[in-house]
Amino acid sequence: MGVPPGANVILAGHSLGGMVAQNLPVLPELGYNQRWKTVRVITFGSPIMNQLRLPDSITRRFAVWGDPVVTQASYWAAKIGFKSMFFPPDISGWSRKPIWIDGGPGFLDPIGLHLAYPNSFDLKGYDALGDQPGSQVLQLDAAHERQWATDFSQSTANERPWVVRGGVATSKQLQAGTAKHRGVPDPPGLYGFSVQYQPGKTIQELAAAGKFRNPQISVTTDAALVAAGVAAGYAVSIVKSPGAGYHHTVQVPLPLPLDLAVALSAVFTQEENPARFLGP
Amino acid sequence: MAVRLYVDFNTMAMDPKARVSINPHMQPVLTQELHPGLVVTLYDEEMEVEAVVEFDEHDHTWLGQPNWSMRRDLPLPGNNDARSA
Repeated sequence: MGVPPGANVILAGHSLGGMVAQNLPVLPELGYNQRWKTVRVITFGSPIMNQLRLPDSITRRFAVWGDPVVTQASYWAAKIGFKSMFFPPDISGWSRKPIWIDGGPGFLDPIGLHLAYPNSFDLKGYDALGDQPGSQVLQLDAAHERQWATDFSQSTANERPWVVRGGVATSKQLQAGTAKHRGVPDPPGLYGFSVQYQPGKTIQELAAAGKFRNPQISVTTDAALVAAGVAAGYAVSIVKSPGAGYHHTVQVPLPLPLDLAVALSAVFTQEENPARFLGP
Repeated sequence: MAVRLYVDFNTMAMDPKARVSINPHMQPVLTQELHPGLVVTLYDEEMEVEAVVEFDEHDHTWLGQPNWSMRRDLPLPGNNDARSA
């Protein structure tokens, strides 16, 4: 990450990035606090997470008026079982409410409001620590971010560290596939679900190596999986393990908790199996 | 009628004999009916296949050895036509 050990760090993120930022300092299993000192956690359009463990003094949560991710995500997440990671707004207390800002003109639909942060004039009144009045203007360089994202997408489309599974990676399927890895001595053992993973390999190469018989495959990246785990409040890692092809195991708790299964399932996308195996 | 068990077919990759793991947490009642040699139907969201149940004494795990000639694609949601093997 290029940040020297012991450095003061401002964690800032938008949406899912803000969820990760809220979890990094409060989950000891991630080892983050052993390496860096968090002076601020600044989120833009992120649901509230771990706020009872994250001190108010270091937290700044910005929310555009009407952004549904801030106002409704906790409610719906609690509905589907994310109780361990979210606190519904009605118990979060006034001091834990976000700093409401205006998204600027032209953003009326829910998605537009969630993406309005770089254009918010209100944000220009805050400094890099998220304080007002501030000595330094906090400004998001969205144009630069988009350019970088485009370049990254074009230059590394075939080189991303893909993670591929056969079938549709529903939360139910991930739960069904989570088990103790056979053939790995216990202790320490190995617990998780199977994937095909090898940085540098294409999706087609990974699908062929897995000899998947399903009509579809599910695809994500290693970074997306780990980030989804962190956002859900769990340490998730991908380790090489005995098996066919480029077999790896995504290490998760056993049995796989529903909230984590839902979070991990959400980062997979489905596409036609380019190398469907129909042999005996 | 054969016992139907929801599985993750990706578990085949970690078995030298390409057997499918049967997770007892998913169907605890059905798992109680298992015995070696029982013919069951393993399925996921997209396909199903007949399999013969085996028990791994070393890992204390129920497994299914699929008969892939008996695989059948399941209809997609909203599609009544099953895609055959």
